Amino acid sequence: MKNSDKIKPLGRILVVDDHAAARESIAYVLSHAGYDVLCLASAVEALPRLQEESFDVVITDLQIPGMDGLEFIQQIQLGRLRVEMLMVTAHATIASAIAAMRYGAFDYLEKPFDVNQLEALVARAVERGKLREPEQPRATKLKQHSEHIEITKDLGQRTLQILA
Amino acid sequence: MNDIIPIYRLPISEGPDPESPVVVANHADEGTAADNGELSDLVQGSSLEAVLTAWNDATVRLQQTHEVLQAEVRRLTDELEEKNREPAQQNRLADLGRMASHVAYEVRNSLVPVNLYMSLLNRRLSEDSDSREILAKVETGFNALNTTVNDLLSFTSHREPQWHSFLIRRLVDEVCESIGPQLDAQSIRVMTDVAPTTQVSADREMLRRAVLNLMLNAIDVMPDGGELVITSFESPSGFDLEIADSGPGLQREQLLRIFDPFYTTKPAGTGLGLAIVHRIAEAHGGRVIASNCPEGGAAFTIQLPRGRALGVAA
Repeated sequence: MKNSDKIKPLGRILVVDDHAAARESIAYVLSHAGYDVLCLASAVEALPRLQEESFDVVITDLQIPGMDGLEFIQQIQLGRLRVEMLMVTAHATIASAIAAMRYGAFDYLEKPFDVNQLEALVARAVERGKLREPEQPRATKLKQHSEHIEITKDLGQRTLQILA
Repeated sequence: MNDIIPIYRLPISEGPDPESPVVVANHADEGTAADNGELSDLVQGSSLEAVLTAWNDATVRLQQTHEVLQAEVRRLTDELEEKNREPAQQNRLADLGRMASHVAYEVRNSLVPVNLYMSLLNRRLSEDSDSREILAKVETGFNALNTTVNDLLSFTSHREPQWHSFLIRRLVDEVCESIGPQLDAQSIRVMTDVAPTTQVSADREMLRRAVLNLMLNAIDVMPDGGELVITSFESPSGFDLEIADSGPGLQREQLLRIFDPFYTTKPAGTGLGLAIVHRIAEAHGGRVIASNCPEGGAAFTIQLPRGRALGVAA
């Protein structure tokens, strides 16, 4: 983004996908939407970066070489790294979606998604990350809970769509 | 069987001829040599004629039985060969499935930038109607490609049904709701005659996919509007769900081939939609039948066997 030097980015995003054209297009869209984006091809490269730097959201493909997406988010969980995790997948199955959520993924998107879906989900993930900050006032906690209810509802609907 | 030697018909009026002996099985040698004299004495007798006629008849019957048995052996050999071929064919299909699934995966990844840039462009061109028109055409192509990939993945990803009991009416209503905009856009009226309390045991998502495919198929054959009638029946043999349209109906060739994979009559069809329905019905131990309605249009009936489909509600 041309004016990224002047305006504070909306958030910091790490995109992990071995498909170059896919990750570059995700980065292009998100950087134009005002995010600071870093792209990497594998989880092996991504893990040390997550330990060293701070990111709001990591978007990872489910099938990536070396360490697969599920193992990757499990590692993030185990390392207690504070980052929201979004899964993207070329072939969603109910089993993989459930596994991703169980390992703490915020949500998942099935490829090929459009700009609106990507932007909306990233914005919500960034927002949720902010709500996770410690010592939140009660109102914020309430907001967080209602947000969770919305997410669960939406997830249920989209799970059905994937299966359709 | 192999011991039988062909029998030559004995000329009754002229008596036995040493050059064309009557020979049967293992008795051939002793029979011809020893009986020649006695036969000539008996040749005038009427009883000999009866014996020889009976002998000839028996011979003909034996020959016929032999031929029938030979045909049976050939049939069983062919059947055995066919059975031996099946595993090989299944392996080939599994290879093809893996290849199709790999291709679908790659195509979906490649479609990520296409869809993202296309939707971004669409947003930027909101004021330029001419450009948006072109973009809409690109989008149509993209959607067709995406549908092909989705169909390919559905067709190749074999899965065993996860049996659950659910209200079939609710599933039908759900599918109708999901395609509501298309039904409205093409002025298609839907009439549903499915009992609200009927519980069916099946893989809900697989059955949903089958019903959706049949409805989308019906929509495609009624571009200028029509009626879509969804009816359920419970018969002694099981549960039937019929989806009938008021389109042009099916021609003879279509009736024969409509469930074949890759068979399509649509300009942009993949030919997998109904093949998927067929596969889903078979995975449930049932079948799907295509027919023409007496009042016009085509009907597709998913038949699920009673034992499994109408079991106890969960």
